[in-house]
Amino acid sequence: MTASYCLPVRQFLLLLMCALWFHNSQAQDDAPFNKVTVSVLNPMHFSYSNAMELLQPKVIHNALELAVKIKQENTGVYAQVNYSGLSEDLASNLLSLRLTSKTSPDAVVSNTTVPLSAVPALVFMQPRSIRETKHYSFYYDLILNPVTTMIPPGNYSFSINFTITAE
Amino acid sequence: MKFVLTIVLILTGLAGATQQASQSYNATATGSIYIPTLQSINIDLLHGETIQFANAEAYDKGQLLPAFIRATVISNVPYLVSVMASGPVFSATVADPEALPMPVSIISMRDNINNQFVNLSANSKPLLINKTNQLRSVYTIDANFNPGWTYSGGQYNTTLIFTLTAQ
Repeated sequence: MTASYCLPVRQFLLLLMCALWFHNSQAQDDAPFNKVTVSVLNPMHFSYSNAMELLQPKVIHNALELAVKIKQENTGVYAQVNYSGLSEDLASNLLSLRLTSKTSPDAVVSNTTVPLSAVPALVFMQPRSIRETKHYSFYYDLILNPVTTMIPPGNYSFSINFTITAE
Repeated sequence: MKFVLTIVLILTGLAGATQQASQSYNATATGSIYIPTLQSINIDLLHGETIQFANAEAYDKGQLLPAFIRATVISNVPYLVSVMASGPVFSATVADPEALPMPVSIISMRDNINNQFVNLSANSKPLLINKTNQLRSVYTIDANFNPGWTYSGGQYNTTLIFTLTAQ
C-alpha cells in the first residue's frame, strides 16, 4: 500500500523538479532580467594645454555605448559620477552625457544632455518588453563643461556608474 | 523524509528565481582629467596709446583717466598681477637737447589691494590680486599722469609690462 502510494508521488515530484529546473535554467539564461553594460568606445581622458580651453567645453565624441537588456519591467537607467581628489562643489556638473543615437524606438529621453554629479541622474527610461527579451544600445558623447571657478591643478580620475532599476 | 527534502529543494529553487528578478544592475566606466596650472592675462588700453596734455590745467593737476586699462585674467589658481615699466625713464622725442629725462613714476595706477595709486618704476609692483575664486575676472584700472611743469614738451614713450604669477 505504501509503495503503491509513493510511486505516483515520487514520479510527480520528479516531474515537478524537472519542470522547476527547466524554469530555473531559463531564468538564469535571462538573468538578470534588466541589465546594463557599458563599453568605452573612445578613451575618456581630458587634458588642457592653455587657459582659454578652460572656458570652452571639451567633448569626447562617441565615448560610451550603453547596452541594456530589457524584459519584464519598465526600467530607468541612472548615472552618477565620482571623482578622486576633487571636492564635490568643484566637481558638480563638470561632466555631462549627451545622447547621440539609440536603437530603442520607445525609450523615453527627457533630456539629451544629462549633467553628472554624485547624485544619480536619470539618463533614460525604457518601457518593458512583454514577449521577449530586448537588447538596445545608446551612444553618448562625454562633455567636460567649461570651468567657472578656480580648480586646483591635478590629474583627477573619475568613474561613471550606471544603474538600471525597475520603475 | 525524502518528501520533505524534495519540497525544500523546490522552495529553494523558486526563491532563487524570484531574487534574480528583483535585483538592479550596475556598470562602470572610468576616465581622467588632467589640469595643469593655467593662466593668461590680456591687457586692453581703453583710452588709446597716446595721452595728450592739451592745456595748462592738465599740467597743473595731472590727468586722471578712469578705466585706463582693462585687464582680463584667466587663472585656475590664486594669482598676483604686477606692473612695471620697461625702464626708469621715458624715451623722448623732444626739441630741447637739454631736456630732463622724464621718470615713469609720473604714471600711477590704482591697485585693488589697498585701493591706492602705485607709482610705476622699472621694478615690478603689485597691482591686482584675486579676491574671488572666479576663473575669469575682468579689472578696470584707473591711471593718473602727472608730469607737472618740469619737463619739456614733446613725445615720451614707455612700455608697461604686466606680469601674472601664481600664488
